[in-house]
Amino acid sequence: MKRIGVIVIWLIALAMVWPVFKPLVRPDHSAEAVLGRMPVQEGGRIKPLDSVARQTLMLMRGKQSVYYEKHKVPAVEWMLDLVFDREESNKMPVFRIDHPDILGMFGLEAGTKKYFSYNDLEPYLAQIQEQSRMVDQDSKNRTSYESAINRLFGNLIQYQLISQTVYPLSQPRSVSAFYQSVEASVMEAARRFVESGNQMSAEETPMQLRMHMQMLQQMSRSPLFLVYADGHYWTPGDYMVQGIPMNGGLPPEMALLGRLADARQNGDPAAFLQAATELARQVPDPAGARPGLEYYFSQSQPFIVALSLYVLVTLLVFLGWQFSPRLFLPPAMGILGVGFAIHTFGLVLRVLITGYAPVTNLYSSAVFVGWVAVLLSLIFEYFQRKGVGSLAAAVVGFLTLLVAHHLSGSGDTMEKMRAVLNSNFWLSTHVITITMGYGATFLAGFLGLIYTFYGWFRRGMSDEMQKSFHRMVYGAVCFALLFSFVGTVLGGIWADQSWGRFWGWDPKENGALMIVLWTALILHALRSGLVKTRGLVNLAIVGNIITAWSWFGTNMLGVGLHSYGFMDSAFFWLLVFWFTQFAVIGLEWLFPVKVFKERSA
Amino acid sequence: MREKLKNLAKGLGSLRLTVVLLAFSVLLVFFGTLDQVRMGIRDAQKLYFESLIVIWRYPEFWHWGNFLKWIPVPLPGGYLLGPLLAVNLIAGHIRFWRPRWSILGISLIHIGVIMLLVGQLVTNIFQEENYMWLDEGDTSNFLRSFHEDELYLAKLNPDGTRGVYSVNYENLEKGETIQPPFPFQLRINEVFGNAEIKQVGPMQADLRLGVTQGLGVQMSLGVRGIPSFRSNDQRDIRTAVVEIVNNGQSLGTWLVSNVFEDRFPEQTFNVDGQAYAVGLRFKQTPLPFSVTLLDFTHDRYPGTNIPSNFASRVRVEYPAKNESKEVMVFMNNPLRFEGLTFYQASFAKQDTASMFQVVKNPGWLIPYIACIIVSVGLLYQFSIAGYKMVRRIKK
Repeated sequence: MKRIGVIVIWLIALAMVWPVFKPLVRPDHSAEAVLGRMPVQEGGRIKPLDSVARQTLMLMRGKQSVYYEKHKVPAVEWMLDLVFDREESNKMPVFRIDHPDILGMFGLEAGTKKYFSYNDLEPYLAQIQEQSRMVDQDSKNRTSYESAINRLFGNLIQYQLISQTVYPLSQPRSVSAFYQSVEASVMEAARRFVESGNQMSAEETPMQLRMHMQMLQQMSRSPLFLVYADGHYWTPGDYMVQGIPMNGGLPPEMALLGRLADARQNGDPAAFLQAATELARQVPDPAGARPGLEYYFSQSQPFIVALSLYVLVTLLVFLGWQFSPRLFLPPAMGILGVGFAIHTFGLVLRVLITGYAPVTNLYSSAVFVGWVAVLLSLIFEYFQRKGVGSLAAAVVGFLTLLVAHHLSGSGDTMEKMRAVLNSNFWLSTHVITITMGYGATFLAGFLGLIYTFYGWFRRGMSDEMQKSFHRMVYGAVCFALLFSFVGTVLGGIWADQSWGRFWGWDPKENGALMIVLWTALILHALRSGLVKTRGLVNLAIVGNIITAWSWFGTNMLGVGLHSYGFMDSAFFWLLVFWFTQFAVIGLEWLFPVKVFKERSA
Repeated sequence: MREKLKNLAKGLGSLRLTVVLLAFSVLLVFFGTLDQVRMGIRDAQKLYFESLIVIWRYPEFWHWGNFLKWIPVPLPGGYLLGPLLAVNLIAGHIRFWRPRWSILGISLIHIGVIMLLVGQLVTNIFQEENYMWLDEGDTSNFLRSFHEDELYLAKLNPDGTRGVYSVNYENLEKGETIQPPFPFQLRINEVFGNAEIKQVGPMQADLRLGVTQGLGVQMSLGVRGIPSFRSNDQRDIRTAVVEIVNNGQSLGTWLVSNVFEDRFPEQTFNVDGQAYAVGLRFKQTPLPFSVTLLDFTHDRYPGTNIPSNFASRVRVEYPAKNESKEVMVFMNNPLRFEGLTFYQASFAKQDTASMFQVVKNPGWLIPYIACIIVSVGLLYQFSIAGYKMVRRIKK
């Protein structure tokens, strides 16, 4: 019976891991996959078209797919419509609008509708532009309405620019025919230019050519460098201007784009797939980027898989404590190990794709904080198998990956680093250690929370259990001090290297210093006998508050606190988090956890 | 007496005091960070971290600010907490310390922490931050200050050299008379910490403050004192009205301000046939060597404006030491020369001008050493603790 239970648990876990293997076992050969994998250049780096689609849609809609006509349309499919068949994508509701004042502009009330298509918004474009022009230049002084309208306007512009990648705003009947007429007028102009003895004034330029050039110029403002030719990535607009004379006619890549657009617009999937395959075949594997790997990363979503495994582990530990430790706790630890392995796999993929150390921005710091906490608690669990380490790992892993998932909506999470950050040495020393410090402090704090809740719900705990908690929290605090201190000082040294000052009382520096001071305080309080296990646990929970401040709060200072009329949603969640932590400490003071002596059986 | 001293040492070195001091430090850093939003980093640093005591008040523009702003939160400042922590640490060590391998790490950690505190003090006292702007091909042999200003008088010699006399802005007092090493005196009629300067019509002639010579007259400028910008990005417009006096006789009154430099020609006058210049400018520090910007490069990621690197190729020449070399200064790679450190800080003019932040900090090496010592100590101590714990559990 017990064996069957364990097998069932593992089968569930394996089913959850399946998405990681699926793209390897069953490769997708649809046109969407072929073009989704194709490398393009956007935002200063080479990535698969699929990533551009996901990031753009995240920015506009907050999700990686569109719900349209009772179907879930994946990001890349939407992007292909946007680029090759604008009229179709214009009907899809991709703009998310929450602000009641903007909804009011359309005569809607909050809550009636929140996703809008380009066609829905088109009648209001002038109005939106007008409003966004009045927005305060300084982002610190903006009201919530101003940031919302500014964001909406930016998204609309981005949408328009991308939609002009392959053909101009004035829709031609056939894109191939349009390309051919551009080719004809360029070649004609070149012929005349040679005939007139390399002299031709602007007035003599044929009307047709001038019009075409204007359209191409429009197209070349697209942020999407879709065509690879001659060792570079080009916007199709630019490549027409340069490529037709260079090639002595319409370049084959452009002819393929024309066929793609026509096939898409005429609803001919077979022709579309054929042209897509031909186009993708022309792009060689780029040096210094791994679009294939990145495509696999987005398809398999290892962090989401790890997150769901952590949820399963949490459940198993609860079941184990309530019913049968022997049945549930060993598989919980095993599955935690699998979750950790996939978490690690995701981090490794990111490093391989970006070529940077694992932490480069707030998003990846969240992923890494979770990873460190899980690693440490796995070690704890290995030494004392009571489920506490597993639970702490699963809870912190789950929460940090959830936070990361929400942070990923702000654009490309694998972006290139700005000059001062463009240093793998400092990214892999200072940034890694300081993030490990966050992870260890959070682990200590969450162990504290688990201690309190465990004590409450099980009506007390044995002194043996209490000792075990004590050891784990103490260990986590020691790690926290080590990493935070070294990380903070390394940060100072980096600052000295790049700005000429070791310490500048910058909010982020101060936040790190607060963690160092607090963990030092905990160790000294313990050493002086001022606190015992109970105090240790509550001080560690305060550590959660300080770390959350240091990690996120200091980033919000520039935005949230100044214009206090509204609350940034992240700031709201920070306050909620603080409140819950204080509440637990306060309640523990009112209803202390009971500890009783237990004879070992 | 001996007993009393012993008790005092006991109290000063107690771990409980450490805990209290650390708790206050956390609060101080937190409130000091919060107030940076209101007053900027520089002022908050002075008020919180370079003071003995500070009172924090709930900001009025927050929720319930109207009521909560009345509750003052007094806190010990950085100059009180820092030394107390140092004393506590040293006293604690004197009290508890015995040479034992098992606490070697703890001693190392604390030595390192003291070094960090001392290093920060050295930095606070001795650090000087200046900057240097250079166009490609230009050479400079002086630095400009980020925050300080000076009033200067220059004797313009016929051969193009200048004899300069300067007074720091902080030392200027309204109404005082200064005797430069020149045959005339300088009277300070007005001083403004920050000012609004604009053209005024005859209706507002009183804003011209009795200026009779130079730019102030040519452009009909009026001056109004305004409060400090309290900003890291915008420099206060320091302004003064000065009168040149020779043997009790006024030779004219000039308006000087730190915004005139680089915008308008220098204001000059003659005394006994000798030409002089007067002005208020960002404080300058002369260097015994010169720096020439040979080339500035600014790399971007393809198809974007995101910078991937800034670099300046410069030549440093020190004639007195017969030294000349060419160096690349780029992000995270400063030039250290003659006790000064040149950092790539900014650029302008379509990537043909480069700014260096120039820092003099004799204590710059201390944190590096301290970091190593503390890290070794922490690793040592926690390894011992971890080993013991694992052995106990295994039993």
